[in-house]
Amino acid sequence: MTALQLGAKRARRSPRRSRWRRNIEGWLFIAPVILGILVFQFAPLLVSIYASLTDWDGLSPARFVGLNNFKTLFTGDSLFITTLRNTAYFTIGTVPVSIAVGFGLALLCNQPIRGVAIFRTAYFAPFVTNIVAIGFVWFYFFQPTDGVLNGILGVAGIHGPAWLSSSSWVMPALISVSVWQGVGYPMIILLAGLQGIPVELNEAATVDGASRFRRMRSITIPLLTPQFFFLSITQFISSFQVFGLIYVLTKGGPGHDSTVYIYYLYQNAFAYGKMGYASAMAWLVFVLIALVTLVQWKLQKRWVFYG
Amino acid sequence: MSASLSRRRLLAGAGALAGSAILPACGKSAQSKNTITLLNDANTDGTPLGAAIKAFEKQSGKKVEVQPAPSDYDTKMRTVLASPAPPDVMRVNDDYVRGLSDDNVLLDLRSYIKRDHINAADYASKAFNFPTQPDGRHTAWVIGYSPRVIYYNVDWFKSAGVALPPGTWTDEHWTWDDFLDAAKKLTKGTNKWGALVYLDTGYEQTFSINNGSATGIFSANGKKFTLADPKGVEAVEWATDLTTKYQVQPPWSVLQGVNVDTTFFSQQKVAMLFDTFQVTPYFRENVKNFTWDIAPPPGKVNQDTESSMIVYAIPKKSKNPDGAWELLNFLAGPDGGAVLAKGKEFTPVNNKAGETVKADAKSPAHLGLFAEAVHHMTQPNQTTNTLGARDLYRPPNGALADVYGGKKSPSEVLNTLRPKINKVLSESPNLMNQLGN
Repeated sequence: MTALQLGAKRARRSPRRSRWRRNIEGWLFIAPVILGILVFQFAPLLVSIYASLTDWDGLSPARFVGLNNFKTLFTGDSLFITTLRNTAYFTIGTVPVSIAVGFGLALLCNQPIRGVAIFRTAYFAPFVTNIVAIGFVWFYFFQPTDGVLNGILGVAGIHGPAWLSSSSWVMPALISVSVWQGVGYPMIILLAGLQGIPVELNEAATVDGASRFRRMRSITIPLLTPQFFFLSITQFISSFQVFGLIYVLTKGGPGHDSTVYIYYLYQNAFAYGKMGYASAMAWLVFVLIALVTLVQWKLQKRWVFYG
Repeated sequence: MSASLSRRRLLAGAGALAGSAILPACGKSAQSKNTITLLNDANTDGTPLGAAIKAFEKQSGKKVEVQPAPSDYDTKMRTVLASPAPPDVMRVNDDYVRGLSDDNVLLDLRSYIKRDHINAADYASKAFNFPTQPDGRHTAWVIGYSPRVIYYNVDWFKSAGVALPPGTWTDEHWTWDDFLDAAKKLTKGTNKWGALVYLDTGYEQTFSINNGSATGIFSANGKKFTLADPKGVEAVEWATDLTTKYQVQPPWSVLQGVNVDTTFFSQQKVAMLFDTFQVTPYFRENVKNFTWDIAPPPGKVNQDTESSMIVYAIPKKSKNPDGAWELLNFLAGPDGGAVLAKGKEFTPVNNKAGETVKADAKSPAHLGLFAEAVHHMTQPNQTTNTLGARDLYRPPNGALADVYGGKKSPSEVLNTLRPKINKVLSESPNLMNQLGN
């Protein structure tokens, strides 16, 4: 073998070795994160799969009960259905309204007026505010005797209800707070979408005589469908997993009128010590959310326009 | 010497950093025997318990590390109990002592009691024996108890021309009828009420026992829901009628808030309030514009009151059970009790210390009633699943919300609940019991 051939071999081997070294370095850099994910996310997932098949109470040794927890959920726990119904009510009430209101705010915040940044910040602020603080403020807002809301209604001659302790009003009250708190997120997403729409399209349509409503229907909304699709998925997932608001404002009451699925899961795990049962509930909600997301994904072909 | 940052050095540094973050988590904490960790449901700074802990530290030379968990304490408590390193001693809700004892996670204190020659006669007997389990284990330690009484606005009584309640533990001129009569006279319009009884859940046991129920909420063996018996139903009905029939008590819907009891009383929205000893410090500190006092609960067949137990327990997995016991023994003893008594928040379990709960220049004038409550004490019988039972009948989730709201009658609700609650009580919470409504 000539020196030239050897050199060529070395030259061929060298990039591979350096690539391997680079890979090792990369892996080393992300190792702490990967380790964290494995220890604090993946391991608990595996444990919860096992726990869902046991009667573990968090204190005594777990006893394997097979699919009993799942069976009990569907056949022996009427509250399970109640909480699913309440969660559906909350989700259906929250998701479309927050997206619609968010869209309206995004249109307003897209106007070229002075001080618009202040409005954007104001609308987005509740989204990044601690839910406990929000809960306390709204708690006093909803107070039946000396609350702000009933005070305002009283001026108009309306006798306001006991918002958070009335079976019929508790959910609308919670949905209102949720929309108020969460509307900043769809607003920001849709605002970004609006600002991504080429100005030329609207200008051309205006020249062609299209009205503002027509431009909205034929240009703005179709070009925002990817954002609407993204929001419909993310808002559904977050609404279906609502917990903090319920925990702070109503504790699931009155009766079980505002006991949503995740709050009931939490009660089972930490109040009643039914960790196994709660784990089964957690996996069931995962499957439910995954199925709904899959359906949404399949349906997107019919209405989402990726221009 | 210039140290340029090479890639190798950066990697080594990053590795070392990651390692240093992970390694301590793997190591065993070497806790000194001179340190006792205490999980408590409130911050102890500036409280009677905090003062008693300081006195213990001074006397013993040991250090007590308090871990306050003021929010959702019971959840935190269960979580740390499940961990391999729970605190050495922790506050336990008196309703959970039986359940946790059945779970076998609390240390049996009998060997300590025997070793230190603890004489039960030195303590309020019902409180002292409260943590004794059916199999004889003594799984927790009561350091005090908080009796419930009627707090009343003296000025309001005088301005309405109503005779003041008794200052001793007697039901002479202080029966349920007398109470109702006073409440009617004290009520002004639609937003100043004569009484508030049903907000404090201790009314269930207190008023059912005083109505002649033999066991109150639960049967002696903790397996039956006896609040649904006629005497219990009558008691709930009487407390609810104050609102629905006589309008002398705030409607349930306006009581949904934080610290409504103390707020309504101190803002002079209610003239009489049924509440525990533990609200006394708040009133002593914050009520400046009227004179207030306390009276025993009104009597009928009996005149007892439910006392909430101030209970602490040592987890079985405690790293320093000896230190924990030393602390508890001090808190329940005459020295610790004397410090606790000064706080006027609950009655120390030690008889000598309990006797020092006396009135001073501040309200209430009849503070001694709290000490006398030792002779009129009742607590709900312990069950293995008190929480599960309560979730079914107590608001916010329980069915009594409909009763307090005037939608359903107590007998209808309680009798419907009876089989469900009996079922929950018959099963240990760590089995596959269901709370389906």
